[in-house]
Amino acid sequence: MTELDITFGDEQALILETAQNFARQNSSPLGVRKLFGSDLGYDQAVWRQMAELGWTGLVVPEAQGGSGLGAGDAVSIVEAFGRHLLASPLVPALLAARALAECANQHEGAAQCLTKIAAGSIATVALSEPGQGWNLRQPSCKAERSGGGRIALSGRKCHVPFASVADAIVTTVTFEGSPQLLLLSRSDIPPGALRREICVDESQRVFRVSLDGLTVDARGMLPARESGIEALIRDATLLLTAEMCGGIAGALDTTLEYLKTRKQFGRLIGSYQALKHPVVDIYTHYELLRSLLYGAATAAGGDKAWRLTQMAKAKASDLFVHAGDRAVQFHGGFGFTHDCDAGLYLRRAMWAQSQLGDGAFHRCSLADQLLV
Amino acid sequence: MANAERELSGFRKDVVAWLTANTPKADFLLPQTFMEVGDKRQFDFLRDWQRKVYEAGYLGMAWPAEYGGRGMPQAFQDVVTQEMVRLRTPFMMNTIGLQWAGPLILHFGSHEVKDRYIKRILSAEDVWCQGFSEPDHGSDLASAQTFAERSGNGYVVNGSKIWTTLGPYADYMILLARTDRAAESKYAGLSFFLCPMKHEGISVRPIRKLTGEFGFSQVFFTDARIPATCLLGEEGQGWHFAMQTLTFERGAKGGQAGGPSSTNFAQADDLIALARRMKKNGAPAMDDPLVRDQLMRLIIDDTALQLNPRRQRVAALVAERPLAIPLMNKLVGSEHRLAVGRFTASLLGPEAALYVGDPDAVDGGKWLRGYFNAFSSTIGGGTSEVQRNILGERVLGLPKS
Repeated sequence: MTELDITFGDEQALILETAQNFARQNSSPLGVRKLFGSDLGYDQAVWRQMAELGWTGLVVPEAQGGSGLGAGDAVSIVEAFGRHLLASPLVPALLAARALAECANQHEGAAQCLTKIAAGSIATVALSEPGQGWNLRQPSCKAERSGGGRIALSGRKCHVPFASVADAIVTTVTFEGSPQLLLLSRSDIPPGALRREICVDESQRVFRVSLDGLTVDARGMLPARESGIEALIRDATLLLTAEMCGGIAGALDTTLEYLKTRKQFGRLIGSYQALKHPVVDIYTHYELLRSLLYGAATAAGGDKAWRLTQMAKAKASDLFVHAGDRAVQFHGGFGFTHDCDAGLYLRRAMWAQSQLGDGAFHRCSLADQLLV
Repeated sequence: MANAERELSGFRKDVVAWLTANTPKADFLLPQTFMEVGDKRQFDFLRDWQRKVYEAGYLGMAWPAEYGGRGMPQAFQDVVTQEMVRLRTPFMMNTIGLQWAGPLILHFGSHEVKDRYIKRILSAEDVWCQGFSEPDHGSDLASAQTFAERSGNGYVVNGSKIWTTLGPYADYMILLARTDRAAESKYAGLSFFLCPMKHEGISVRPIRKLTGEFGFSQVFFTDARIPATCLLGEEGQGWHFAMQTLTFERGAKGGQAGGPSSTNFAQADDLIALARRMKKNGAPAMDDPLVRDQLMRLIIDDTALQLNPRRQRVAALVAERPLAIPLMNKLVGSEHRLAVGRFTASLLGPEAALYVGDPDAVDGGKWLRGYFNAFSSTIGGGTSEVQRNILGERVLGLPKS
């Protein structure tokens, strides 16, 4: 890997500062727990503020009322959300917008949808399929022409965020033998086609979506682009990694707070090296991860940025689980209770590691690219 | 800005051309770092090389011209250092002078002191060593017992220092010694000396290391009378100067003369080449999924270590804990090199039985020697365990252990 660098301008620095303050003010472990019981899974007032800040339109082209920035520019926002466990449909909306932005000039439906996303309409993406593992580039869901300008769909998607409230879903399908993107609107999917999944991370609102038997307007097919799904996977991996990096910082916050206040055997437990040293090791590797993350976020796209993203996702997967695991352990008996915030991060880590490829998966993929 | 970049890239070409034409080849096994210089032949070779680099204008480029530097922007020296690392030239042997004592003297020394020492550090006319650790006080520097007693216009030194790299060859030592046993704290009783080594009452005994090499030593002071002008600053400032020295040593603060302190033979490309060459169950080790996984782990951390200093330059990305990256450099870098050492040893399979000296040892035994040598930086300059305490307490705000 040559020419490694991190460039970060004033605009990015401003986004980062705004996002950190916003997440700190608008989310707390207590608030997250309150949302556990709600069907919606997020706070609509907070979502409206995000739209007012321009974040829902961050990657929407200027012609559709957005800022026209890239996925890398959203990293600091998503990272801050991860640290404070802020639940919102922002990431799926950003991903849907990124996929649609590529064809805004050629596809009227995409352009209209982008305008709505910038204004705060909810959109999401459907990448995963039951039983297909992390092989996301060859969807088993199918779309076939069925006459009258309609296409017939088959197959199932899983872990689709906020599918029940999304006005639009960008889904991967195999259409006439080639992997492509399809834009579905809410009216295309009957309520019976959705089932809310019980996710290990209780703050997630993820759904199974059955496409079997559905026929939709063929104009929903987005212009065929070889790189469409690839770009979506890369953006999704980058933003998930950003959320995980923030999550590790959150797990550390929780652990450090406890180590500085809890006393045993007459001493603050943070003075014991058996606890201090493992926490420092998690922390230093978190800092290394953060350098990879921002290296990936600010690299100008392409294969180099993707390799850095994969490196970051690999490291984040292992480190987040380890940070959550140690956070639980270092809270002692309290750590084993559902009330302890360490568990929020461990559950988030288990979810995030399982999505878009774990550590071993990305190291294997990187090895095939770099160790030829 | 574009002009400056053009100037630097032209400069880089000149440097590469000069290094390519002038780097000497040794017909014997060179040490891996400045801590393993074990015989006169190695020492002379490395001293000549450093002088040659200095005379070509490629060392101490950012140091003041009046003391022998060139007063140029640091970026030029960084280019030279990067290219020396990349081309794997022999290292700059006078590391303690160039990277630790030199910047300390430049920061805190009087005009006379700078005038006397700085240029001779760059040219390697004076080789420096460090006298901090003592036999009974490894990581606990503040408990140093070597005593310098004021006597007339000088000090009489008694005691012993250990792990003294380059001790047998050194002309000067940065010496941490106690001048006041009754001071209000153990820290306040310490003073800092620029002490001559070729001196009556000072003797050096080489110590053999884990690797089998010599390179450091124990130094004995027996009624060694040194002039009062050897004192840096004032009595009682020893702890302050020692901490400043460690800041330079650990790379947490800039101002070093430049040039590498070791010859890196285990970069990512070297590991990949070794994994291709070694066999595992009859096939290249590189085909083994576990080997590939481990290698990628190391390459990922190596990449992150390269990106850390880049991020450090972006204030917004280090705002929360600005000291973190400078203070963690040594811990993560040295632990990474140790992990690389273990990995290379594992690649050797049954060949890992043979060591330096055996005619059939893989690559002359340098992989195992490299693994053993990697402990020098997880232990020297404050062990990894001490570093974790520093990070835990100073960066994360945890209570003292």
